[in-house]
Amino acid sequence: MTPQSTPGDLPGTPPADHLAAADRVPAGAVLEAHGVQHAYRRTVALRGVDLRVEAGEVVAVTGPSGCGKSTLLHAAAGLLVPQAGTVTLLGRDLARLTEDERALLRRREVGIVLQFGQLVPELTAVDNVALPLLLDGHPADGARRLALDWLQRCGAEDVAATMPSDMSGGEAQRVAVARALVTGPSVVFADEPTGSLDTLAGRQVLGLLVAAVRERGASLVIVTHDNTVAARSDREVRLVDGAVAAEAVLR
Amino acid sequence: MSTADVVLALLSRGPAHGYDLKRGHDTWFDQGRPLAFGQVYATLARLERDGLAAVAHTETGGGPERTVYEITPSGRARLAAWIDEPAEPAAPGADELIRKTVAALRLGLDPAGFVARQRAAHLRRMRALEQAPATDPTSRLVVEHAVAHLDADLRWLEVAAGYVAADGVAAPVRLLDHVAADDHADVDADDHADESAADHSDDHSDDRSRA
Repeated sequence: MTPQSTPGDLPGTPPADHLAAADRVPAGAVLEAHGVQHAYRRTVALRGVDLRVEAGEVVAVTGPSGCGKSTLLHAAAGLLVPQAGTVTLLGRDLARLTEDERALLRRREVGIVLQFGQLVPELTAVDNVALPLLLDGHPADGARRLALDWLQRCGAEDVAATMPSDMSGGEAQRVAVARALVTGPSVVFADEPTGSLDTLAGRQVLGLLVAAVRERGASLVIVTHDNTVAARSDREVRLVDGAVAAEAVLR
Repeated sequence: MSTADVVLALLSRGPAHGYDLKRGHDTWFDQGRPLAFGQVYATLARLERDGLAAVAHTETGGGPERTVYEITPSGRARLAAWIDEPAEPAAPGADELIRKTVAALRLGLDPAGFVARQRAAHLRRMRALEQAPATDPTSRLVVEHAVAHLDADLRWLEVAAGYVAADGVAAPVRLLDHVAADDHADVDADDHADESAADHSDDHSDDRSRA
């Protein structure tokens, strides 16, 4: 796992705990979730789920609607603290971190792509992509240069100066993918990243995401109900009614 | 797909000899079985007999003689008619997948395990297809067709799994009815509509929890 290799680097501004964090990753695993349980007001979403993701592995979490797959992804990414169970992400027990520490971890070492509308509506594409770097105190020039570089790799350079409201769904998702990858994360979480797109646009965005993640040797956890998306993964974890019903190694 | 129709389609691009036609065929359908030379010449002979193709001329170079064929006006008419007529939608016949699924469910032979294993097999096949290098747009189309079929099977298996989960014994009968009544496309559409509606409510509950 060498997330420091491709354009993730900004000269002269290495985040201090970047390497230290990578050292703390247990051999092979970037994510280990044990006995994760979570319920919303009336609905039980997760009934004790285990999920382990190896470095460089692409895992699809699938299952019928309401099976808890989105909740599992949110718990794994530290967007939600489950009511029971432990989630260890990149060597850190998420429940023991403060909200700020979880936010920092997400921003620096994790990429997140959600289904729709996660771009900041007041910012152009390039500023949206540069945002995680700017929040981390990187100089604006370098951050925007790197953002442009990622927009280009994601085939979205044409909309660099465009506001989200003027983008197509496919363009917005390309920008979202660029933003998720700009910090050089070692693990990316994607929740139905193609869910709001038509087939062709969805496949292009997905192909882009999977290729970029594989090229970096990063890990990807992708929640989907689309079989063609699941078929891009190395392993499918199938949830039914809040529990793992089946696992299949596809590689 | 009849070979004669494809050869006629290839000939409509301009006069060609047998080897050109074989090469053209294998480029269009490069995921499929290559066309045998014997079949090319047998097909050309039939097309000529039926007045759909004719000998344009014979090439005599250094090597053996090569007969160049061209499409005739009635050949063009036949080609147009072939393209005009939609292909027979593949009926869900008693193929191996359906036979096995119905048997596994009817006999209660670990139906959930059966569905999971079949799902894994289909996904692995789909993964292999997705990873096949796309040489040109038409061969990509052939791959897309195979992927779409696997996807339809997977959705149908999901319906089957749903019946198993809902009520074990009554399920097999309903599954059979389903196969008889609907084609794959109908299953897809229904399944998908339910899924996306419910998924949105799922998303909202997540949003609340984060807020």
